[in-house]
Amino acid sequence: MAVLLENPLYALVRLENAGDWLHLSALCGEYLTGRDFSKLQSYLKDDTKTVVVEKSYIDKDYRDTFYNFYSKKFVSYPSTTYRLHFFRSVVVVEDLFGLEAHADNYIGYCVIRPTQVNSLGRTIFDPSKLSRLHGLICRTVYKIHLFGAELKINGFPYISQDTDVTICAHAATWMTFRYFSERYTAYREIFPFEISQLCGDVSHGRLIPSKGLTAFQITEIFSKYGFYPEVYLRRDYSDKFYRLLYYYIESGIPVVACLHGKEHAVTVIGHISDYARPATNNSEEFLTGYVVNDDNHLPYQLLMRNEKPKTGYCSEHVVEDVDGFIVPLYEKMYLSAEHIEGLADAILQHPPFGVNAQSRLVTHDRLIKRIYLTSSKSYKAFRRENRLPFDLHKNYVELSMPKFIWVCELSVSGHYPQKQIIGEIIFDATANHWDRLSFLAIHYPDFILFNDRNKLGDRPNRFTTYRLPAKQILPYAMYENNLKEI
Amino acid sequence: MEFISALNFEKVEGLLDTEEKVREARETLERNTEDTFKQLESAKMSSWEHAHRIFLD
Repeated sequence: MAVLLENPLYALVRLENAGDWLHLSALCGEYLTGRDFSKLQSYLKDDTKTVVVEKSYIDKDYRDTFYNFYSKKFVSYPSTTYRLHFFRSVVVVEDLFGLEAHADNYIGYCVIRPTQVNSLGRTIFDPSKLSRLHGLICRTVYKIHLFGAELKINGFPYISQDTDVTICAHAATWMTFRYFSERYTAYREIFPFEISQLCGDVSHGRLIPSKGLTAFQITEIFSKYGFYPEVYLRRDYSDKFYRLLYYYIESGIPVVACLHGKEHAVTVIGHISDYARPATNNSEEFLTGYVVNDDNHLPYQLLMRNEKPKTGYCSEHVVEDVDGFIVPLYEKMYLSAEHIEGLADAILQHPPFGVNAQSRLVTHDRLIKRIYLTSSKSYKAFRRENRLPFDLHKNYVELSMPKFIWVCELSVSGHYPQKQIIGEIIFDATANHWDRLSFLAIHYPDFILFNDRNKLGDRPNRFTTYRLPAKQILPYAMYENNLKEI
Repeated sequence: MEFISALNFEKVEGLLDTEEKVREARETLERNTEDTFKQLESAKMSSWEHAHRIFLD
Protein backbone atom coordinates (compact mmCIF):
# COMPACT_ATOMS: atom_id res chain seq x y z
CA MET A 1 0.00 0.00 0.00
CA ALA A 2 1.96 3.00 -1.28
CA VAL A 3 -0.42 5.71 -0.07
CA LEU A 4 -0.16 5.53 3.71
CA LEU A 5 -2.34 8.58 4.31
CA GLU A 6 -4.53 10.82 2.22
CA ASN A 7 -6.85 13.59 3.34
CA PRO A 8 -7.79 16.98 1.85
CA LEU A 9 -4.63 18.61 3.21
CA TYR A 10 -1.91 15.96 3.30
CA ALA A 11 -0.75 12.70 1.83
CA LEU A 12 2.00 10.33 2.83
CA VAL A 13 3.36 8.03 0.14
CA ARG A 14 5.91 5.24 0.42
CA LEU A 15 8.05 5.15 -2.70
CA GLU A 16 9.38 1.66 -3.32
CA ASN A 17 8.75 1.10 -7.01
CA ALA A 18 7.55 2.74 -10.21
CA GLY A 19 3.95 2.02 -9.29
CA ASP A 20 4.31 4.01 -6.07
CA TRP A 21 5.64 6.96 -8.07
CA LEU A 22 2.55 6.76 -10.27
CA HIS A 23 0.43 7.01 -7.12
CA LEU A 24 2.31 10.19 -6.27
CA SER A 25 1.70 11.55 -9.74
CA ALA A 26 -2.01 10.80 -9.45
CA LEU A 27 -2.16 12.56 -6.08
CA CYS A 28 -0.72 15.72 -7.61
CA GLY A 29 -3.36 15.59 -10.34
CA GLU A 30 -3.16 18.21 -13.05
CA TYR A 31 -0.66 20.31 -11.06
CA LEU A 32 2.31 18.11 -11.93
CA THR A 33 2.98 17.81 -15.67
CA GLY A 34 4.03 14.44 -17.06
CA ARG A 35 7.39 15.83 -18.12
CA ASP A 36 8.17 17.23 -14.70
CA PHE A 37 6.97 14.05 -12.99
CA SER A 38 9.42 12.01 -15.08
CA LYS A 39 12.24 14.40 -14.18
CA LEU A 40 11.49 14.15 -10.45
CA GLN A 41 11.17 10.37 -10.53
CA SER A 42 14.38 9.87 -12.44
CA TYR A 43 16.26 12.33 -10.18
CA LEU A 44 15.02 11.08 -6.81
CA LYS A 45 14.04 7.44 -7.18
CA ASP A 46 17.35 5.97 -6.01
CA ASP A 47 17.44 7.99 -2.80
CA THR A 48 13.83 8.60 -1.75
CA LYS A 49 11.79 6.25 0.40
CA THR A 50 8.90 8.47 1.45
CA VAL A 51 7.22 11.67 0.31
CA VAL A 52 4.96 13.90 2.40
CA VAL A 53 2.56 15.93 0.25
CA GLU A 54 1.14 19.28 1.38
CA LYS A 55 -1.88 19.71 -0.87
CA SER A 56 -2.80 23.30 -0.22
CA TYR A 57 0.54 24.99 0.26
CA ILE A 58 0.69 28.77 -0.07
CA ASP A 59 3.92 29.36 -1.92
CA LYS A 60 5.16 32.95 -1.74
CA ASP A 61 6.79 32.84 -5.17
CA TYR A 62 3.77 31.39 -6.96
CA ARG A 63 1.43 33.76 -5.09
CA ASP A 64 3.47 36.66 -6.43
CA THR A 65 2.96 35.54 -10.04
CA PHE A 66 -0.62 34.45 -9.31
CA TYR A 67 -1.74 37.86 -8.04
CA ASN A 68 0.14 39.79 -10.70
CA PHE A 69 -0.51 37.57 -13.70
CA TYR A 70 -2.38 34.25 -13.47
CA SER A 71 -5.40 35.70 -11.62
CA LYS A 72 -5.91 38.02 -14.60
CA LYS A 73 -6.33 35.18 -17.08
CA PHE A 74 -9.66 33.81 -18.30
CA VAL A 75 -8.83 30.35 -16.98
CA SER A 76 -9.20 29.96 -13.21
CA TYR A 77 -5.81 29.07 -11.82
CA PRO A 78 -5.72 27.83 -8.23
CA SER A 79 -3.99 30.17 -5.80
CA THR A 80 -2.32 27.37 -3.88
CA THR A 81 0.33 24.79 -4.77
CA TYR A 82 1.38 21.28 -3.80
CA ARG A 83 4.59 20.91 -1.85
CA LEU A 84 6.39 17.58 -1.88
CA HIS A 85 8.82 16.74 0.94
CA PHE A 86 11.22 13.91 0.16
CA PHE A 87 12.81 11.65 2.80
CA ARG A 88 15.55 9.03 2.52
CA SER A 89 13.93 7.15 5.41
CA VAL A 90 10.65 5.33 5.79
CA VAL A 91 8.20 7.74 7.42
CA VAL A 92 4.99 6.24 8.78
CA VAL A 93 1.81 8.09 9.75
CA GLU A 94 2.73 8.13 13.46
CA ASP A 95 6.06 9.82 12.60
CA LEU A 96 4.35 12.90 11.14
CA PHE A 97 4.12 14.44 14.60
CA GLY A 98 7.79 13.81 15.32
CA LEU A 99 9.50 14.53 12.02
CA GLU A 100 12.61 15.78 13.85
CA ALA A 101 13.54 12.10 14.10
CA HIS A 102 13.85 12.07 10.30
CA ALA A 103 15.74 15.37 10.03
CA ASP A 104 18.98 13.69 8.94
CA ASN A 105 17.12 11.94 6.14
CA TYR A 106 15.23 14.97 4.87
CA ILE A 107 16.31 15.55 1.26
CA GLY A 108 14.29 18.71 0.72
CA TYR A 109 11.15 19.92 -0.98
CA CYS A 110 9.73 20.82 -4.35
CA VAL A 111 6.76 23.13 -4.90
CA ILE A 112 4.42 22.04 -7.69
CA ARG A 113 2.69 25.03 -9.31
CA PRO A 114 -0.52 24.80 -11.32
CA THR A 115 1.17 26.72 -14.14
CA GLN A 116 0.72 23.90 -16.65
CA VAL A 117 3.67 24.39 -18.96
CA ASN A 118 6.41 24.06 -16.34
CA SER A 119 5.16 22.99 -12.94
CA LEU A 120 8.33 22.90 -10.81
CA GLY A 121 8.34 25.87 -8.48
CA ARG A 122 10.68 26.74 -5.63
CA THR A 123 12.79 23.67 -4.92
CA ILE A 124 15.55 23.15 -2.41
CA PHE A 125 17.34 19.83 -2.15
CA ASP A 126 20.34 18.98 0.00
CA PRO A 127 22.79 17.65 -2.60
CA SER A 128 24.73 15.69 0.03
CA LYS A 129 21.69 13.47 0.41
CA LEU A 130 21.46 12.60 -3.27
CA SER A 131 23.88 9.93 -4.39
CA ARG A 132 24.49 11.08 -7.97
CA LEU A 133 25.75 14.57 -7.18
CA HIS A 134 29.35 15.77 -6.78
CA GLY A 135 31.36 18.97 -6.60
CA LEU A 136 32.02 22.05 -4.49
CA ILE A 137 29.16 24.55 -4.37
CA CYS A 138 27.78 27.69 -2.76
CA ARG A 139 25.20 26.51 -0.27
CA THR A 140 23.33 27.82 2.71
CA VAL A 141 20.80 26.54 5.23
CA TYR A 142 17.07 26.88 4.57
CA LYS A 143 14.66 26.19 7.42
CA ILE A 144 11.25 24.76 6.72
CA HIS A 145 8.35 23.82 8.96
CA LEU A 146 6.26 20.72 8.54
CA PHE A 147 3.78 19.49 11.14
CA GLY A 148 5.38 21.95 13.56
CA ALA A 149 8.83 20.43 13.16
CA GLU A 150 11.70 22.58 11.97
CA LEU A 151 13.72 20.84 9.26
CA LYS A 152 16.85 22.20 7.61
CA ILE A 153 18.15 21.92 4.08
CA ASN A 154 21.70 22.89 3.22
CA GLY A 155 21.54 23.59 -0.48
CA PHE A 156 21.07 26.09 -3.29
CA PRO A 157 17.61 27.23 -4.46
CA TYR A 158 16.13 26.18 -7.77
CA ILE A 159 13.05 27.20 -9.77
CA SER A 160 11.91 26.49 -13.31
CA GLN A 161 10.64 29.18 -15.65
CA ASP A 162 6.86 29.39 -15.92
CA THR A 163 7.21 30.66 -19.55
CA ASP A 164 4.66 33.42 -18.84
CA VAL A 165 6.15 35.80 -16.30
CA THR A 166 9.57 34.21 -16.18
CA ILE A 167 11.92 32.64 -18.72
CA CYS A 168 15.29 30.97 -18.13
CA ALA A 169 17.17 34.20 -17.41
CA HIS A 170 14.61 35.27 -14.80
CA ALA A 171 14.85 31.84 -13.20
CA ALA A 172 18.65 32.11 -13.18
CA THR A 173 18.54 35.51 -11.46
CA TRP A 174 15.86 34.33 -8.98
CA MET A 175 18.12 31.45 -7.91
CA THR A 176 20.97 33.88 -7.33
CA PHE A 177 18.79 36.35 -5.42
CA ARG A 178 17.22 33.69 -3.23
CA TYR A 179 20.65 32.33 -2.29
CA PHE A 180 21.91 35.77 -1.25
CA SER A 181 18.73 36.78 0.60
CA GLU A 182 18.74 33.56 2.60
CA ARG A 183 22.44 33.73 3.40
CA TYR A 184 23.01 37.43 4.04
CA THR A 185 20.73 39.83 5.89
CA ALA A 186 21.90 42.69 3.65
CA TYR A 187 19.81 41.28 0.77
CA ARG A 188 16.04 41.32 0.76
CA GLU A 189 13.84 38.52 -0.53
CA ILE A 190 12.50 39.19 -4.02
CA PHE A 191 9.82 37.35 -6.02
CA PRO A 192 9.50 36.33 -9.68
CA PHE A 193 7.07 38.98 -10.92
CA GLU A 194 9.03 41.69 -9.15
CA ILE A 195 12.22 40.46 -10.84
CA SER A 196 10.51 40.59 -14.24
CA GLN A 197 9.71 44.27 -13.68
CA LEU A 198 13.25 45.33 -12.70
CA CYS A 199 14.37 45.86 -16.30
CA GLY A 200 11.42 48.13 -17.12
CA ASP A 201 13.73 51.05 -17.85
CA VAL A 202 15.57 49.11 -20.55
CA SER A 203 12.71 47.08 -21.97
CA HIS A 204 11.91 46.47 -25.62
CA GLY A 205 8.16 46.59 -25.21
CA ARG A 206 5.99 44.80 -22.68
CA LEU A 207 7.66 42.77 -19.94
CA ILE A 208 5.02 40.04 -19.66
CA PRO A 209 4.37 37.61 -21.19
CA SER A 210 8.13 37.52 -21.25
CA LYS A 211 9.89 37.05 -24.58
CA GLY A 212 13.37 36.71 -23.14
CA LEU A 213 16.10 38.96 -21.80
CA THR A 214 19.40 40.27 -23.10
CA ALA A 215 22.59 39.96 -21.08
CA PHE A 216 22.40 43.72 -20.60
CA GLN A 217 18.91 43.44 -19.11
CA ILE A 218 20.20 40.84 -16.65
CA THR A 219 22.85 43.31 -15.49
CA GLU A 220 20.09 45.90 -15.12
CA ILE A 221 18.03 43.48 -12.99
CA PHE A 222 21.05 42.87 -10.76
CA SER A 223 21.75 46.61 -10.52
CA LYS A 224 18.17 47.51 -9.64
CA TYR A 225 18.19 44.88 -6.92
CA GLY A 226 21.30 46.39 -5.34
CA PHE A 227 24.24 44.51 -6.80
CA TYR A 228 27.12 46.07 -8.73
CA PRO A 229 27.31 43.60 -11.61
CA GLU A 230 30.07 43.00 -14.14
CA VAL A 231 29.47 41.42 -17.54
CA TYR A 232 32.08 39.33 -19.35
CA LEU A 233 31.79 38.08 -22.92
CA ARG A 234 34.12 35.44 -24.35
CA ARG A 235 34.53 37.38 -27.59
CA ASP A 236 36.19 40.22 -25.65
CA TYR A 237 38.29 38.38 -23.06
CA SER A 238 39.56 35.52 -25.29
CA ASP A 239 41.92 33.23 -23.32
CA LYS A 240 41.20 34.96 -19.98
CA PHE A 241 37.45 34.37 -20.17
CA TYR A 242 37.22 30.91 -18.62
CA ARG A 243 39.79 31.70 -15.94
CA LEU A 244 37.77 34.77 -14.91
CA LEU A 245 34.61 32.67 -14.66
CA TYR A 246 36.49 30.19 -12.49
CA TYR A 247 37.85 32.92 -10.17
CA TYR A 248 34.34 34.18 -9.43
CA ILE A 249 33.02 30.67 -8.83
CA GLU A 250 36.02 29.93 -6.60
CA SER A 251 35.01 33.11 -4.75
CA GLY A 252 31.65 31.55 -3.86
CA ILE A 253 29.72 34.03 -6.01
CA PRO A 254 27.03 32.39 -8.13
CA VAL A 255 26.97 33.86 -11.63
CA VAL A 256 24.45 33.85 -14.46
CA ALA A 257 26.10 32.19 -17.44
CA CYS A 258 24.94 32.91 -20.99
CA LEU A 259 24.86 30.11 -23.52
CA HIS A 260 24.16 32.52 -26.31
CA GLY A 261 24.51 29.91 -29.04
CA LYS A 262 21.66 28.03 -27.33
CA GLU A 263 19.81 31.24 -26.31
CA HIS A 264 19.86 29.91 -22.78
CA ALA A 265 20.99 31.04 -19.31
CA VAL A 266 21.97 28.95 -16.28
CA THR A 267 23.21 29.75 -12.79
CA VAL A 268 26.75 28.52 -12.11
CA ILE A 269 27.03 27.65 -8.42
CA GLY A 270 30.19 25.60 -8.02
CA HIS A 271 32.82 23.51 -9.71
CA ILE A 272 34.27 20.05 -9.89
CA SER A 273 38.02 19.65 -10.17
CA ASP A 274 40.46 16.78 -10.56
CA TYR A 275 43.60 17.52 -8.57
CA ALA A 276 45.38 14.50 -10.03
CA ARG A 277 45.55 16.35 -13.35
CA PRO A 278 48.82 18.07 -14.15
CA ALA A 279 48.67 21.86 -13.78
CA THR A 280 51.33 24.27 -14.89
CA ASN A 281 50.54 27.56 -13.18
CA ASN A 282 46.86 28.13 -12.47
CA SER A 283 44.35 26.13 -10.41
CA GLU A 284 41.79 26.56 -13.21
CA GLU A 285 43.72 23.86 -15.06
CA PHE A 286 42.43 21.31 -12.51
CA LEU A 287 38.84 22.16 -13.40
CA THR A 288 36.81 19.41 -15.06
CA GLY A 289 33.45 21.19 -14.99
CA TYR A 290 30.98 23.44 -13.20
CA VAL A 291 27.95 22.70 -11.07
CA VAL A 292 24.96 24.55 -12.54
CA ASN A 293 21.28 25.06 -11.89
CA ASP A 294 19.62 24.89 -15.30
CA ASP A 295 15.91 25.57 -15.03
CA ASN A 296 15.18 23.03 -17.78
CA HIS A 297 16.49 20.26 -15.52
CA LEU A 298 16.72 19.60 -11.81
CA PRO A 299 19.44 21.27 -9.71
CA TYR A 300 23.16 20.53 -9.34
CA GLN A 301 23.87 19.42 -12.89
CA LEU A 302 27.48 19.04 -13.99
CA LEU A 303 28.45 21.18 -16.94
CA MET A 304 31.58 19.35 -18.05
CA ARG A 305 34.49 20.54 -20.13
CA ASN A 306 34.21 19.38 -23.70
CA GLU A 307 36.85 16.68 -23.50
CA LYS A 308 35.68 15.27 -20.17
CA PRO A 309 33.52 12.14 -19.89
CA LYS A 310 29.96 12.82 -18.76
CA THR A 311 29.40 10.72 -15.66
CA GLY A 312 26.83 11.51 -12.97
CA TYR A 313 24.04 14.06 -13.39
CA CYS A 314 25.39 15.92 -16.42
CA SER A 315 24.10 18.69 -18.61
CA GLU A 316 23.72 18.17 -22.36
CA HIS A 317 25.71 21.42 -22.66
CA VAL A 318 29.45 21.82 -22.06
CA VAL A 319 31.61 24.53 -20.48
CA GLU A 320 32.65 25.69 -23.95
CA ASP A 321 28.98 26.60 -24.66
CA VAL A 322 29.27 29.39 -22.09
CA ASP A 323 30.06 32.54 -24.03
CA GLY A 324 29.24 35.18 -21.44
CA PHE A 325 28.50 35.61 -17.77
CA ILE A 326 27.22 38.25 -15.38
CA VAL A 327 28.59 38.48 -11.85
CA PRO A 328 26.47 40.04 -9.11
CA LEU A 329 29.11 41.85 -7.07
CA TYR A 330 28.64 43.52 -3.71
CA GLU A 331 29.03 47.28 -3.61
CA LYS A 332 32.49 47.29 -2.03
CA MET A 333 34.05 44.80 -4.44
CA TYR A 334 35.57 47.49 -6.66
CA LEU A 335 38.53 45.50 -7.97
CA SER A 336 37.59 42.88 -10.54
CA ALA A 337 39.14 39.47 -11.12
CA GLU A 338 40.89 40.42 -14.36
CA HIS A 339 42.91 43.13 -12.62
CA ILE A 340 43.98 40.79 -9.85
CA GLU A 341 45.26 38.23 -12.33
CA GLY A 342 47.37 40.82 -14.15
CA LEU A 343 48.63 42.51 -11.00
CA ALA A 344 49.47 39.24 -9.20
CA ASP A 345 51.57 38.13 -12.17
CA ALA A 346 53.39 41.47 -12.22
CA ILE A 347 54.07 41.30 -8.47
CA LEU A 348 55.37 37.74 -8.63
CA GLN A 349 57.80 38.74 -11.39
CA HIS A 350 58.70 42.11 -9.91
CA PRO A 351 62.47 42.79 -9.78
CA PRO A 352 62.74 43.82 -6.09
CA PHE A 353 59.86 41.90 -4.45
CA GLY A 354 58.98 39.16 -6.92
CA VAL A 355 59.30 35.56 -5.84
CA ASN A 356 62.60 34.95 -7.66
CA ALA A 357 64.10 38.03 -6.02
CA GLN A 358 62.99 37.34 -2.46
CA SER A 359 62.63 33.59 -2.03
CA ARG A 360 65.44 31.07 -1.89
CA LEU A 361 62.98 28.19 -1.59
CA VAL A 362 60.69 28.52 -4.58
CA THR A 363 60.87 29.97 -8.08
CA HIS A 364 58.16 31.64 -10.12
CA ASP A 365 57.99 28.89 -12.73
CA ARG A 366 56.99 26.33 -10.06
CA LEU A 367 54.03 28.30 -8.71
CA ILE A 368 50.39 27.31 -9.11
CA LYS A 369 48.15 30.31 -8.46
CA ARG A 370 44.61 30.20 -7.11
CA ILE A 371 42.68 33.49 -7.16
CA TYR A 372 39.49 34.20 -5.23
CA LEU A 373 37.57 36.92 -3.45
CA THR A 374 36.38 36.52 0.11
CA SER A 375 35.31 38.51 3.12
CA SER A 376 38.10 39.47 5.48
CA LYS A 377 35.87 38.24 8.33
CA SER A 378 35.71 34.77 6.85
CA TYR A 379 39.39 34.77 5.91
CA LYS A 380 40.51 35.75 9.39
CA ALA A 381 38.21 33.17 10.98
CA PHE A 382 39.67 30.47 8.74
CA ARG A 383 43.24 31.54 9.45
CA ARG A 384 42.62 31.45 13.21
CA GLU A 385 41.76 27.78 12.84
CA ASN A 386 44.28 26.95 10.12
CA ARG A 387 47.53 28.50 11.14
CA LEU A 388 50.45 29.80 9.12
CA PRO A 389 54.10 28.99 9.80
CA PHE A 390 55.86 31.32 12.26
CA ASP A 391 52.49 32.35 13.74
CA LEU A 392 51.91 34.72 10.83
CA HIS A 393 48.17 34.01 11.11
CA LYS A 394 48.24 36.26 14.20
CA ASN A 395 49.44 39.13 12.05
CA TYR A 396 46.79 38.41 9.43
CA VAL A 397 44.07 38.32 12.09
CA GLU A 398 45.35 41.61 13.44
CA LEU A 399 45.93 43.25 10.06
CA SER A 400 43.49 46.01 9.20
CA MET A 401 41.56 44.78 6.15
CA PRO A 402 38.59 46.01 4.09
CA LYS A 403 35.31 44.09 4.14
CA PHE A 404 36.39 42.09 1.06
CA ILE A 405 39.83 40.98 -0.05
CA TRP A 406 41.18 39.31 -3.15
CA VAL A 407 43.66 36.53 -2.46
CA CYS A 408 46.13 34.96 -4.87
CA GLU A 409 47.22 31.77 -3.12
CA LEU A 410 50.52 30.22 -4.12
CA SER A 411 51.20 26.52 -4.19
CA VAL A 412 53.40 24.01 -6.00
CA SER A 413 52.51 20.76 -7.72
CA GLY A 414 53.37 18.48 -4.79
CA HIS A 415 51.22 20.36 -2.31
CA TYR A 416 48.18 21.56 -4.27
CA PRO A 417 46.47 18.13 -4.48
CA GLN A 418 46.75 17.95 -0.66
CA LYS A 419 45.03 21.35 -0.53
CA GLN A 420 48.14 22.99 0.86
CA ILE A 421 49.67 26.32 -0.06
CA ILE A 422 53.02 27.96 0.52
CA GLY A 423 52.21 31.67 0.33
CA GLU A 424 49.71 34.27 -0.82
CA ILE A 425 49.22 37.85 -1.95
CA ILE A 426 46.30 39.65 -0.30
CA PHE A 427 44.69 42.61 -2.10
CA ASP A 428 42.37 45.36 -0.94
CA ALA A 429 39.18 44.72 -2.97
CA THR A 430 38.10 48.33 -2.50
CA ALA A 431 41.18 49.67 -4.31
CA ASN A 432 41.15 51.40 -7.68
CA HIS A 433 42.65 49.11 -10.32
CA TRP A 434 45.03 51.86 -11.45
CA ASP A 435 46.53 51.83 -7.94
CA ARG A 436 49.22 49.15 -8.34
CA LEU A 437 50.11 49.20 -4.64
CA SER A 438 46.71 47.74 -3.76
CA PHE A 439 48.17 44.69 -2.01
CA LEU A 440 48.03 44.34 1.76
CA ALA A 441 50.54 41.53 2.12
CA ILE A 442 52.91 39.46 0.01
CA HIS A 443 53.98 36.18 1.56
CA TYR A 444 56.45 33.60 0.21
CA PRO A 445 57.78 30.69 2.29
CA ASP A 446 60.76 32.75 3.49
CA PHE A 447 59.57 36.34 3.00
CA ILE A 448 56.71 38.57 4.09
CA LEU A 449 55.82 42.12 3.18
CA PHE A 450 53.03 44.20 4.71
CA ASN A 451 51.75 47.32 3.00
CA ASP A 452 49.95 49.85 5.19
CA ARG A 453 47.11 50.93 2.89
CA ASN A 454 46.33 53.90 5.10
CA LYS A 455 49.66 55.48 4.18
CA LEU A 456 49.27 57.15 0.83
CA GLY A 457 52.01 58.01 -1.65
CA ASP A 458 55.48 56.59 -2.04
CA ARG A 459 56.85 57.05 1.47
CA PRO A 460 58.78 53.91 2.47
CA ASN A 461 57.19 53.72 5.93
CA ARG A 462 54.14 52.10 4.32
CA PHE A 463 56.11 48.85 3.89
CA THR A 464 57.32 46.35 6.47
CA THR A 465 59.43 43.50 5.11
CA TYR A 466 60.92 40.47 6.86
CA ARG A 467 63.04 37.50 5.94
CA LEU A 468 61.37 34.41 7.46
CA PRO A 469 63.73 31.78 8.92
CA ALA A 470 62.39 28.89 6.81
CA LYS A 471 64.97 26.28 5.81
CA GLN A 472 62.43 24.47 3.66
CA ILE A 473 58.93 25.06 2.33
CA LEU A 474 56.41 24.83 5.19
CA PRO A 475 52.99 24.23 3.61
CA TYR A 476 49.71 25.12 5.31
CA ALA A 477 45.99 24.80 4.65
CA MET A 478 44.39 26.22 1.53
CA TYR A 479 41.44 28.52 2.25
CA GLU A 480 38.18 26.61 1.82
CA ASN A 481 35.34 28.72 3.19
CA ASN A 482 33.87 29.94 -0.10
CA LEU A 483 32.54 26.65 -1.45
CA LYS A 484 31.38 23.56 0.38
CA GLU A 485 31.76 19.94 -0.68
CA ILE A 486 28.58 18.15 -1.71
CA MET B 1 53.36 48.89 10.57
CA GLU B 2 52.89 47.85 14.20
CA PHE B 3 51.55 44.51 15.35
CA ILE B 4 50.57 43.30 18.82
CA SER B 5 51.96 39.92 17.85
CA ALA B 6 55.57 40.93 17.34
CA LEU B 7 57.42 39.90 14.19
CA ASN B 8 60.83 38.90 15.55
CA PHE B 9 62.41 38.30 12.20
CA GLU B 10 65.30 39.79 10.31
CA LYS B 11 64.25 42.87 8.35
CA VAL B 12 65.03 42.84 4.64
CA GLU B 13 67.74 45.43 4.18
CA GLY B 14 67.64 47.76 1.22
CA LEU B 15 64.17 46.78 0.01
CA LEU B 16 61.71 49.65 -0.52
CA ASP B 17 63.50 51.71 2.11
CA THR B 18 63.57 55.04 0.27
CA GLU B 19 60.91 57.08 -1.48
CA GLU B 20 62.84 56.66 -4.71
CA LYS B 21 62.80 52.86 -4.46
CA VAL B 22 59.07 52.82 -3.73
CA ARG B 23 58.39 55.07 -6.68
CA GLU B 24 60.51 52.85 -8.94
CA ALA B 25 58.72 49.75 -7.69
CA ARG B 26 55.31 51.30 -8.32
CA GLU B 27 56.32 52.49 -11.77
CA THR B 28 57.63 49.04 -12.67
CA LEU B 29 54.28 47.55 -11.69
CA GLU B 30 52.52 50.21 -13.74
CA ARG B 31 54.68 49.55 -16.79
CA ASN B 32 54.30 45.77 -16.51
CA THR B 33 50.52 45.92 -16.29
CA GLU B 34 49.82 48.89 -18.52
CA ASP B 35 49.20 46.99 -21.76
CA THR B 36 47.13 44.30 -20.04
CA PHE B 37 45.00 46.86 -18.24
CA LYS B 38 44.42 48.83 -21.42
CA GLN B 39 43.27 45.67 -23.18
CA LEU B 40 40.98 44.94 -20.23
CA GLU B 41 39.45 48.42 -20.44
CA SER B 42 38.74 47.87 -24.09
CA ALA B 43 37.29 44.39 -23.39
CA LYS B 44 35.06 45.84 -20.69
CA MET B 45 33.68 48.51 -23.01
CA SER B 46 33.12 46.01 -25.77
CA SER B 47 31.30 43.58 -23.45
CA TRP B 48 28.97 46.32 -22.23
CA GLU B 49 28.24 47.27 -25.82
CA HIS B 50 27.57 43.72 -26.99
CA ALA B 51 25.59 42.67 -23.92
CA HIS B 52 22.58 44.25 -25.65
CA ARG B 53 22.84 41.67 -28.43
CA ILE B 54 23.09 38.55 -26.30
CA PHE B 55 19.52 37.30 -26.28
CA LEU B 56 18.53 34.60 -23.80
CA ASP B 57 15.18 32.90 -23.82
